[in-house]
Amino acid sequence: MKKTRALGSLSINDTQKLLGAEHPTSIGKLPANPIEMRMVPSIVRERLVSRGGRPSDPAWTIVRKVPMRPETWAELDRCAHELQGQNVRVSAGQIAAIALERGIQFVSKRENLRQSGRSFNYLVAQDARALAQRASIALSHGSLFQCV
Amino acid sequence: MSKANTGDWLGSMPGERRDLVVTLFVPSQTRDGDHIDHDFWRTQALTVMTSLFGGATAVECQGAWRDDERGGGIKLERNSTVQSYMAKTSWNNATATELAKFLHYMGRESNQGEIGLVVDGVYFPIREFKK
Repeated sequence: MKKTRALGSLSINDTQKLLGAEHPTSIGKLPANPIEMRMVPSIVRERLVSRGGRPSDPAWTIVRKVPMRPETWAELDRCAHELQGQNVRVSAGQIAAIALERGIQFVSKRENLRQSGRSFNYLVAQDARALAQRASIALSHGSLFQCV
Repeated sequence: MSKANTGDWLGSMPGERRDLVVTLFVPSQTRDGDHIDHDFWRTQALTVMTSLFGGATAVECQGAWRDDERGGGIKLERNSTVQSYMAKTSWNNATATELAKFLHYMGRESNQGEIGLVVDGVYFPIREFKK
């Protein structure tokens, strides 16, 4: 929010500091007549909670076309509808962006752990390691395998 | 009727326009949902704001809201809104400091998660009560 506007003899910044308040939010003029004044708390709550649009991350400044299967989009759309049923205004595209960012975070974190040598170095018995390798090979070929 | 004549016609006091509004929400519960002495805090707010700004009006109502984060339960609460109209020069270093002392005192003593104050259409949330 632009903080240069004056509130009486003080700026918004000065007022925030003097009050010891958190980040202020502009909510517009409030009603002043006695009947409408009764609605002020709910008006303020509504204006603070919802701005009427879809929630969006201000860091999302790049828009790109991302190819995907129709089933993937259908699944994202289903998630969006489920959330909309819970009064969360969100689109399938926004869920896709969140999923993508979380996925990349997860992969980067795992990659960092691997590079720092803090994972995948568990002490495993030799026969157990051999069994795991055989299981992995068998599964990658799609065949059945009896471990024990 | 022209603007210049309205004051004369009403016999109102000359001087700076009192068009800056400060609105305070007086709580009725602690942050844990326990009831507090709402009338006491409303009277305190009226007294402090009148002494600082020359006048204040309190309006009380019953409010209700749906708590979507906790299964959509309906919460009922008593609300009081205290408003003061003042000249722009009345919202200054001295009055803001004094009002802050009261808001922090109320927040601390009545165990609030947040005290809200609206100054000329800007909402200031106070969550730490150290003043």
